[in-house]
Amino acid sequence: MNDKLKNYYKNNFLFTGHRMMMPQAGEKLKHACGQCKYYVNVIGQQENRRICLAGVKAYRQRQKRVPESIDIVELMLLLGKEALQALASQGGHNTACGTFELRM
Amino acid sequence: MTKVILLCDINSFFASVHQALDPGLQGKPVVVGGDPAKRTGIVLAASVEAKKRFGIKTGMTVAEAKARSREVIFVSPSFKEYVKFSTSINKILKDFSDLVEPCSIDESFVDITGCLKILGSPLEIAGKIQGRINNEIGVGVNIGIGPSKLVAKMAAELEKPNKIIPLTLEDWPHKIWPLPVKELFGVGSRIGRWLNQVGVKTIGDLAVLPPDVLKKRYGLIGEVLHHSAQGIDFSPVDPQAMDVVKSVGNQITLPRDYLGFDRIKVVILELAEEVAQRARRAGCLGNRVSLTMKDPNFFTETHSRTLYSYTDITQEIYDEAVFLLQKHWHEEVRVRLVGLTLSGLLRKEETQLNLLVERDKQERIDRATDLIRSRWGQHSIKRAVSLTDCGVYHER
Repeated sequence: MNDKLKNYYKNNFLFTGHRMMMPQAGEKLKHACGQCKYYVNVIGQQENRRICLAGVKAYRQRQKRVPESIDIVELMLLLGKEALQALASQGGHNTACGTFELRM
Repeated sequence: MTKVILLCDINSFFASVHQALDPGLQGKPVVVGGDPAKRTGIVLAASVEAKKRFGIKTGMTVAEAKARSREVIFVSPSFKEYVKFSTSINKILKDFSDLVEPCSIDESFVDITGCLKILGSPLEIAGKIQGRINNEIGVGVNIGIGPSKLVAKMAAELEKPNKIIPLTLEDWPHKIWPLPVKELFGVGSRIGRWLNQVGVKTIGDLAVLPPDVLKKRYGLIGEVLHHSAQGIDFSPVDPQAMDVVKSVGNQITLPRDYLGFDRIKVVILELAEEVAQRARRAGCLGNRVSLTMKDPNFFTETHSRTLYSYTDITQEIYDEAVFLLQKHWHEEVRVRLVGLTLSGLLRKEETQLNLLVERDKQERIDRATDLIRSRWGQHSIKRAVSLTDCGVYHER
């Protein structure tokens, strides 16, 4: 096999040439939670942790601006303790979910 | 060591998503189609039931599909849901192997060569994947198993729906060679037409065609075709394949035919805005602008122009598209569809800086609008011209 052909296969040209992706799908499949604007740093008393705020209606519907970091007390007042605990277990995946929005 | 590659292909993806979201649609003939009132009335997907019972196919007009039966249930597309389902399915696949390459919204390759000792035989792994997708997502999936991406892809097409189909190179001659040559992955309409003209009707015919004939006609692609007909493919499963963006484009079928450049320019500006924004988000600059126009008789023209320098600036893309419009289109011809594509993409950090053109101001304007849209939504800021009756921005 000659070098040209080797490179053709190595660079995956047989399949990349036929790939067609919906704009939003491509972006979501490519990125991870870490690059999502809803995955924000929550500042607690003893630790800081990143939490996915995509499930919070106020942020999803853009009634509130998604901050880069947020104080835990503010979030607790908004959601309540139980909802916040449930939220804390989400996110951190190596594949973004359907609600992904790239952080600018 | 022989590779083991799976291709997971969701059955009638768009229709299956609607059936999964609404249990009332399960087992019924469902068709996802555009809105004929907006002149986008074609079938995007038909459920397995609609295909089997009424012979409804993708690409048919909605009117034609409606004429087949009154039992068919028509639903409007919901692209947000499709993307959600697609990402969820890819998440499941990544639980089995880190080598997952999304091929389209409903297809992904998975290389499980390294997981066989941990997770079991290829059939067992495919069974587990199918079970999880069926139960957790609620859609059917076809899984082709093969020693290469090409074989897996061809295997997945052999039987439908919700099947697991292993295919080896030993099976290749008696299962694949009798198929029509256009069924081979990589053979498009143009190559297929030429092959038919020279008497190559089946994949088997192509496999025995001397490679020099193909090489002389199609060069490197001819060699690849010869390999493909034998079932040979060395392409890797590349999880980073999505990082390679070759072009970004948008097109829209207008709600009514537009006459006059002034009206079409509004649509072009809106498309340029979207295309440039997507290029900026992907961190790319492009140097080739293509404009596609379709008239009411479905006559389509596409023209391209290569720019002096790479760009992601809305105004520059718009200016080039307008140049193409004025050069190649007659003002008295009505327009049904407009499409705009930016290609020849390069990563922003790899491009040569331009000493002659002052772009700072335009770049800052684009950056500011991107930030506003990112924070407050896509429709939070728009050009004043979009508010005129020619604007189609609000329709999308």
